[in-house]
Amino acid sequence: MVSKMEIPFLVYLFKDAIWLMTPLFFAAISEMLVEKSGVLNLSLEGIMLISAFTAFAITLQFQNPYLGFLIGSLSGILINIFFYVLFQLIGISQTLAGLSLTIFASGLTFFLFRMMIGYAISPTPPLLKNTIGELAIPYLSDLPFIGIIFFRQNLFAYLLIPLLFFFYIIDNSQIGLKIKTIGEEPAMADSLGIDVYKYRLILIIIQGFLCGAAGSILTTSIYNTFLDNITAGLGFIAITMVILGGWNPIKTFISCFLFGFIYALQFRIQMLGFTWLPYQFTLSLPYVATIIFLVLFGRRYKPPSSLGKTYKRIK
Amino acid sequence: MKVFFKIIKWREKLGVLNVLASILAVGIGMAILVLSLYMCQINISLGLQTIYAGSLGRYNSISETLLRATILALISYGLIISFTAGVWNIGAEGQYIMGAIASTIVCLTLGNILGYFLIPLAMIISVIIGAAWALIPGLLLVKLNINEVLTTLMMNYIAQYILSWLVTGPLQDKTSMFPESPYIPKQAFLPRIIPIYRLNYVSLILLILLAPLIHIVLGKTWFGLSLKILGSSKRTARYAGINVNRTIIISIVISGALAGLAGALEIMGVQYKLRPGIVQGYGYTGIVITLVGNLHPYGALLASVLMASLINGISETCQLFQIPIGLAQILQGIFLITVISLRFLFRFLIEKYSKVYGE
Repeated sequence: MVSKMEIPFLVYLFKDAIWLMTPLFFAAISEMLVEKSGVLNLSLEGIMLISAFTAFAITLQFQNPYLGFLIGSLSGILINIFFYVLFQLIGISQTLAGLSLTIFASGLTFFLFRMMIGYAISPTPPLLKNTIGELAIPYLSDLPFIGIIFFRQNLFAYLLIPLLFFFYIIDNSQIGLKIKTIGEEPAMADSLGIDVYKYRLILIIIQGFLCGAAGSILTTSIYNTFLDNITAGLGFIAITMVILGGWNPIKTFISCFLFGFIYALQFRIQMLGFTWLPYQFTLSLPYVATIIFLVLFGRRYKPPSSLGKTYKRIK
Repeated sequence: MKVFFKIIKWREKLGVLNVLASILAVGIGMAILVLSLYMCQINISLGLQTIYAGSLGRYNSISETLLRATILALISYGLIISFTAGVWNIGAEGQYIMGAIASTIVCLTLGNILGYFLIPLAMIISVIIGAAWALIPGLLLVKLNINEVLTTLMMNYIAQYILSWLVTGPLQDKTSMFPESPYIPKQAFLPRIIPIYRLNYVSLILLILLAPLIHIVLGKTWFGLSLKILGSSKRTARYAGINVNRTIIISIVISGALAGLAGALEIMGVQYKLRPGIVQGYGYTGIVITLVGNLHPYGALLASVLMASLINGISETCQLFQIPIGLAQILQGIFLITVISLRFLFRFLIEKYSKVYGE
C-alpha cells in the first residue's frame, strides 16, 4: 500500500473526477434519452433530492446502504410518474410541472428531515455508518497510477461504462430511431403506429430509476449524510450536460467527466490550502463553469423539435 | 344536467375558475396544516391560536407579517410580469441577494456623507444591481437562446456565494464573532410608523400602491398586452409586430429590479445589516405566490400576506411546541402542486363537457 504523500496530486484528481461524475452522468444520460423523446424534465433536482433523502432515511433505519440505494432509486420512479401525470394527463406545461415538483421536493425533504432528526436535538445530521465504498479489483488495482484511477473506484463508478454502452446501443438502434421520431414529430410518429405515450412513459420510468440512483449515490456514497438542498443544483447541471453534449451519449459522457473534474478540483483545491483564495470561489466554480460553457458551446446543436411540448392526439 | 350547462357557461369565465382553484388549494393546504398539527400531537385549537397570534394576533406580529409580505409581494409582482411573458425567471433569489448586497455597500460606504439622499440612492442602486443580475440571463436567452431556467438558477448559487464571501471577508464586522456586516448607519433605517415596531412607511406604501400599478400596466397598456401575447405564443407576437427580444429583456429586467428592491427593503427595513440569514428562499416562495395568486397582482398581494402570516405563525408555533420547523416550506409546495393541478383539471373538465353538450 502506497501512502498518499507519494502519489501525485493529478492521480487523485482524476480518481475523484471519475467518482464525482457518477451521479451527474446517471442523471444526464437518462435525461438525454427523455429529451430526445421530446420531454423536458426540469424536475431532476426534485427527484434527486427526494431519493437522496429516502436512501438516507432507509440506510439510517436498517443500516443497509444497498437497501437504501434500492428504495431511493424506486422512489425516483414514483416522483417521475407523478411528473408524467402532471404534464400528460393534467396538461400542465412541462417547465412549470418540473419546477413545481422541484420546489415541492425541497419543501418536503426540508420538513421530513427535521421531523426525523428532531427539532430540539442537535442540528448536526447523523453520519451514516454503513456506506457503499470503494471496491478494489484484485491484481488490477495494484498497477501504478492506472490501478488507483480506474480499479480502486467506488462501486457505482464501475457502472459508468456499461451504462454508456447501453445507452449508446439504444441510441443507435431502431428503438432510438423511434424515440428520435417522437421527439421531432410526435404526430407523424403517432400516425406511423409508434405509441408516443407508451414510449414516453417507459423512458420516464427508466429516468426515474436512474435519477433516483443518482440522488441515492449522493447520500449513501459521496456525502454519507443528508443536508438541506444537498443536490445544490446538480439536477440542473445534469440538464446542462445534455445540452453541452448535444444529445449524444459519448459527448454527454465527456462533458460529465469535465464537470466531475471541476468538482474534484473544487475538493482538492481546498485540501491544498490556498488560503488566499476564499473558499466561496472554489465552491461557486461549477455554477460559473455551467454558464460559461453554455455561452461557449450551448448553441452548437439543435434540440429536438418538440422539446417541452406535450403531445395530444387530435380526435 | 344543469350543472354541466353551468360549466359550459363558465367556459367564458375561466378566470373565475382559476380563482376557485387558488381558494381550493389554500383550503387543502390548511387542511394539511391541521392534519400535521394533529400528527405532531398538538392540541389543534391551541396550535391554530398560536399561528394566529404569531401572524396577525398582536401589533408586533402584524408589523412583522406585513414587512415579510412586502418583500414577498415585491418579488412576486416582478415574477408576474416575467411569467406573463412566458419567461421562467427562477432567479429572483439571486436578484434579491444582489439587491441586498448593493444597498448594504451603499449604506456602509456613503452613509455619513449623503444624509437624506441615502435611502433613495441605496434603493436606486439596489434596483439597478438586481436588474443587471437579471439582465445577464435575459441577454443569454435572447442572443444565444440559452434556457433561462438553467442560467437564472446557476446565478442564484453564484449570488449566494458572493454574499457568503462578503460577510466572511471584506464586509465582515471585525468586532463580531458571526459572519455578518456591521450595522448600517441610523439614517439609512427606513422611517418607522410606530417607533417600537419595525414596520416602515416605505414598505407599507409599496405594498399598497404597487398592486394597482402592476394591474394597470398589465391590463391597460400596450406593454401589458404585448406581454400577454408573447406569453401565449411567440409566433403570434412576432406577427403582431411586437419586438419579441426587447419585450423579453424588459420583462426579466423589471422582475430583477423589483427583486433587488425587495433586497434593499430587507436590509434597510428588517435586518439593518448583511448576514447569511437574509437568504430564506424568498425567490422560490415568490414563484409559489405568483402561481397561487393566479398571475394577478391582487391575487399575489393576498397570497403574499397569507404566506407571510403562515411563515411567521408557523415558526412561532414550532418554537413553542418544539416541533420541526419546515411546515411552512412543505405547505408552499402543496399549495403550488394543488393549485396548478386543480386549475388544469378544471380546464380539462370544461373542454371535455363543452364538447359533449355542444356550445
